[in-house]
Amino acid sequence: MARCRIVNPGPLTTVQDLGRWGGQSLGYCIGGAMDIFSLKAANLLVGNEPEAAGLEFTYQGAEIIFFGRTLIAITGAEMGPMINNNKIPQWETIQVNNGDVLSFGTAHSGLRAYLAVKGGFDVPAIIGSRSTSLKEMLGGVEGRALRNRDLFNIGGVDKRCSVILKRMKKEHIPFRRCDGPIVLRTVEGPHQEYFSKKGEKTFYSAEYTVSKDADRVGYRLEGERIEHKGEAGKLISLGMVTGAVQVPGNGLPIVLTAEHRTHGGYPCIATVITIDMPKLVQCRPGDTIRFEKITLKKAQELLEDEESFFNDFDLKYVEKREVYVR
Amino acid sequence: MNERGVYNKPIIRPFGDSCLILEVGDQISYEVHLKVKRTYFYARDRKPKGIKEVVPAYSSINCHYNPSEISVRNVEAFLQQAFEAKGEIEEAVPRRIRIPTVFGGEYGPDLERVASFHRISQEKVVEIFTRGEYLNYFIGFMPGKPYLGGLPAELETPRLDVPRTHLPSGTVVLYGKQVAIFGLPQPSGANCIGRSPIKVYDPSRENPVLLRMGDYLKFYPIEKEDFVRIEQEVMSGRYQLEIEEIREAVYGKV
Repeated sequence: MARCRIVNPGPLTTVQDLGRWGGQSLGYCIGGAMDIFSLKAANLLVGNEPEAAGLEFTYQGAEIIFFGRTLIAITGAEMGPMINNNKIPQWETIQVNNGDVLSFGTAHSGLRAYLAVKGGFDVPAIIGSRSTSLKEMLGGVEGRALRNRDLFNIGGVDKRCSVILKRMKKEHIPFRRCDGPIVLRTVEGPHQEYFSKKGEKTFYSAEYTVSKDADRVGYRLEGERIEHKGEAGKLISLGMVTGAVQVPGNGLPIVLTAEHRTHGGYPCIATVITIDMPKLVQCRPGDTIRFEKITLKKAQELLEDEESFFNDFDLKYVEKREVYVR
Repeated sequence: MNERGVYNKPIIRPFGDSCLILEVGDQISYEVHLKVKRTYFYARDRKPKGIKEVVPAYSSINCHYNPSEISVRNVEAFLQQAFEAKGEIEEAVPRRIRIPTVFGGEYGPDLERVASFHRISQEKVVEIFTRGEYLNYFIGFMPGKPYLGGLPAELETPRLDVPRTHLPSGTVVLYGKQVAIFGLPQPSGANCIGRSPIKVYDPSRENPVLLRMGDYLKFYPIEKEDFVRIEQEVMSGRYQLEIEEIREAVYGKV
């Protein structure tokens, strides 16, 4: 076993896994990592199950000291990680030793980075999940963002054994461009009949800007207003999903993210496909977005492709080398 | 469709690439609620591999699934089967739960607003409000928070123009036709008419969520002194909830 302690938490660092499934009918949100692709990749790089708990950093990473020898991996937004002030790469396994200090700069591109440690961050599971829900004050460490001196038990690496270090192949590292609108693919509806033809056309052609009001609950967008048809307020509240594009009376879309509330009453013109959500949540206020429509069939094929990517991760998508730990 | 809004055939539509919505009706009514409840309990207890979670609402049920484990066709067929299921379904027995509440003043700053909106006295609002019972259609939004219906028409009040940024847990609100009691502190644009020392959500309890889908809440007025006493009893675990099971099936007046 090894341990690590937070020396400086950064602006918003939380423990996250793949979300709390099974509690929505009691009012618990799903939550979990905003960029699920990056958390899964980080976990696989250190030999964890994809659903192990890692840390989610926002804009800037935390400073962390390690006690004992272990393996870590950092993925997601490029945050210039360093061990003892020496730069280390992201998207690959890094061996850390007793007393090593991990630190970060601010994000060059993207917004959220992930740290996985061998064995995961050992915090209590609530309804099967270790993820932090800030609004519910639940999960992670006392339901809050991390603070100085928070201490975690993590998995260690024994002396005199060999470990496998993996590096994700360059062509598979998601590239977050910031120089133009990112395209989010969506499946139509479920409430497309609440919008006029004109409103629908606006939605699929206009360019939207991420507003300042963009967080773990939802991304409010600014841009051309989407016209409703008839009464927008007529919808009966229903369960929501991550990626739902709600359009309230003011016509400006809100995309629901990980910690969205379980139920809502605004009509949803479209729903962002699961594998495109990481692109959105790496956007910062001021970044631009366009929406595109694809069929449900296509969306599910893409999701299955991503699932096979992770199934074959070690076989096809990483370069491996074995090192002997003294 | 029957006269209280239950469809003869459900509408099933996709909500993104990993969820289907089953719509059993098109209004908020007791009959639609019963249909949702039966369908939900059936689906929850028999969900095949690949279905991650089913979540009820007023007139619909969301079914989250993993499309690489189960095809959308099979999820549709399962939901159809749940909708049509006949015979015994293990459902939660509805309960009547009495909720002591301090109305008005600092505990219910919007009681005055509701009273003046309807041009009646605050006492009258409390009298009308506590006369009825409120059906918990489902739990959602925040942990333990019920979506309550059954507000008498003469108390229907629009939301505040400017939401309050912080209302404590236990807050009792009404907005439009709806009523709620908060399990956690939250901002809200609803009219806050009172507060109860009862915790509908308490993470330190073995079952943090107090209420079940289909329960009825009966609010009754208490004084500030009672609030403090009951709150202490609740905190120390000595408080006995006033709770009874409703066995008779003809409880449809909402």
